[in-house]
Amino acid sequence: MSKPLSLSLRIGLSISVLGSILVVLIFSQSWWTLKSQLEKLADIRLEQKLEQLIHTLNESTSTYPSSFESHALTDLVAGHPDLGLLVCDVNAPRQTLFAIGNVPAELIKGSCLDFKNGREKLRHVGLNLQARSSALKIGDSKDEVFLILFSNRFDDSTLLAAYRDSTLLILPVFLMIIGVGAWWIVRRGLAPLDRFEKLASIVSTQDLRGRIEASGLPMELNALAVSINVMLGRLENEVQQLSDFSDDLAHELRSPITNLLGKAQVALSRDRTSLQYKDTLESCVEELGRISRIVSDMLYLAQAVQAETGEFSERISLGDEALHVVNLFSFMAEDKDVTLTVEGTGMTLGNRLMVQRAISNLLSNAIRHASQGTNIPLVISKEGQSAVLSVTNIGPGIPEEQAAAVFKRFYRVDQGRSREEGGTGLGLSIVSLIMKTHQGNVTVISSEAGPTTFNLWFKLV
Amino acid sequence: MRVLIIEDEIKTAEYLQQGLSECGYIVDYALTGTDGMHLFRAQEYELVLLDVNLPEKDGWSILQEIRLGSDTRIIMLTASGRLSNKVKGLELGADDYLVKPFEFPELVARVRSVLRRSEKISEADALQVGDLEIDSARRVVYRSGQRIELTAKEFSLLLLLMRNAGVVMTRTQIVSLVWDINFDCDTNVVDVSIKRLRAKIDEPFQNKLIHTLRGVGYVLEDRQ
Repeated sequence: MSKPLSLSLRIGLSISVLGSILVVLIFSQSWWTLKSQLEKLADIRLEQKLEQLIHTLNESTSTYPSSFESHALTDLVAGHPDLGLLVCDVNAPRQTLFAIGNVPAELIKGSCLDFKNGREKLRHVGLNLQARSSALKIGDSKDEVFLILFSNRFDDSTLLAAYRDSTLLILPVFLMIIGVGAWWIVRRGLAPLDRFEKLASIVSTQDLRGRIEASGLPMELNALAVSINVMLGRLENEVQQLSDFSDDLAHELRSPITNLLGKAQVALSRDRTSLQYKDTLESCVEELGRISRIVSDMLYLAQAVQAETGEFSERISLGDEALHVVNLFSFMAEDKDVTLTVEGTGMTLGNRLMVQRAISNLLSNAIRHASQGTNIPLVISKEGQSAVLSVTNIGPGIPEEQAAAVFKRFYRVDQGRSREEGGTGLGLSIVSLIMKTHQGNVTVISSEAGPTTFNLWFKLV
Repeated sequence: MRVLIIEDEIKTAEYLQQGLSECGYIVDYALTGTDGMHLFRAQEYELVLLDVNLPEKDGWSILQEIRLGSDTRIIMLTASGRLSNKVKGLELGADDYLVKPFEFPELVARVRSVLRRSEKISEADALQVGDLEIDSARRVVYRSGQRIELTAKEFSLLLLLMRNAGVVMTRTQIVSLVWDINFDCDTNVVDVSIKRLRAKIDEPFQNKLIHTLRGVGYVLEDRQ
């Protein structure tokens, strides 16, 4: 397999080919123009000369054929080495009366009938001859002669040949200049790509800090460099999140696993009653339940990320779904001495289970943190193009500087508290992801003293 | 009834065998796909619990092979919760699909429900456990002849426990069957609801019927 040609070489070569075609075209065009222009000039000269001749003949007082040999006529033609005059008798066309000046021998022997009235080019004799002919009545007599004036365009031919030869000689030099020039320009233009190459050689998941120096790059490459930098930034961010996340996960799983291991080892370290064994097993099952919940939530998050987003066709009444979830939590609310109310309605497109899950996660948090004797309103309202479902609870809230962080995985405002209550630390991350999947958003408004309001922004339909 | 477990993880296979045997099934297990198919051909099984990732021959091809000539009930067990895998399993003819980690009582419930599908038992309106009676048609509950007033949800919860008397119900199952909530949610609601139900039907009486299985769930049975 041959090695692919370099881009600069390829562009250089194609520009050379293109350039040579162009040069050949320009040359042929100018050569042709020059040639036809010279012919035209020669013809005009011949015409003038012929007119002059005819004029002289008409003016001449002497009669045919003596007048033809007059000095004036000879001077007129013979003074120009390239001109020649052939005179034939019209009535006896094959007979050449006489010739003056530079007339090729074959033509003198030839037939005058070959010439038509007007201009003509003669090539067949091997010389570059141009001719103009005209019939002429001699005085009042019946005699009529045919005049053919030639011009031997030897000089013009020489000029054209010189032009052609010099062009052909210089053409390769031109082509080389074009080709090398193009190659050099392209090479220079592509030189900034080295920066991209350097960057690509250092980027890896361990080190995503490299960026391309965008200043001084040509406009087209500048845009590319900027978007590559943005992409790298995004990747760096996500890789960081991923690695934080696996750290967090290991950390989260470590404590239940430590509990399990410890509990079981203590239990086995001496003989115990079956009741004690039972207690150990039960405690282990509870701990395992927590691990299992974390794993399930993690799986759910991983799957929701991969799920196709926004292509929901099911119409969902937020009011109905809120009531459905409130129904589940009503006993728990009563138990904690809080009340739940649902106000307003709004329709959106979505996945019913996901919407229920989002509301359920918010409501479960709200009940957990609500002060005794308060009400938790679920309010659905329309704001512009959005249907907003808000859940508000009165009670200790989230310090403002931590508010945005609550959607992070395993983030806990009050370290350890919700863990005791069985949360996985993933509830709000799941809410956030569900809202993203629905092309919506979740926001929180809170302060340390409360109240706390979570808003789910859905697309209104 | 005979159940065949095809599962390469020996611990899983062993506890499934023990658990299901204690529930009254006759259980065999195979650790590879080929052994599994061999056992399946040698014996008549009502149900196959089939793991997807198996050495030698994977679960999908076993599923297809079994379906070629038999309509034995099949429950797929897998670590992958991907929807596409679930759909694939069900399309290839599996009767149910359970994602690991699962709770054992849930597996038992699924096994029962899958085996019940073939014989369609109509459930009686009136049920009795000990001196507790429930009439689902008239929606009334009596204990020791004494009428007990329950809210709609309390009634549904009691009905579920009565219908599955003696069978452990996990919190997840209860939330799904009583409240129609089919995702992992805060299951504390179940504990609160059971507490309320107990206050009405158990506390005033000597013989307690609702029992907690710590770490597992709840069961309603007369233990006297």
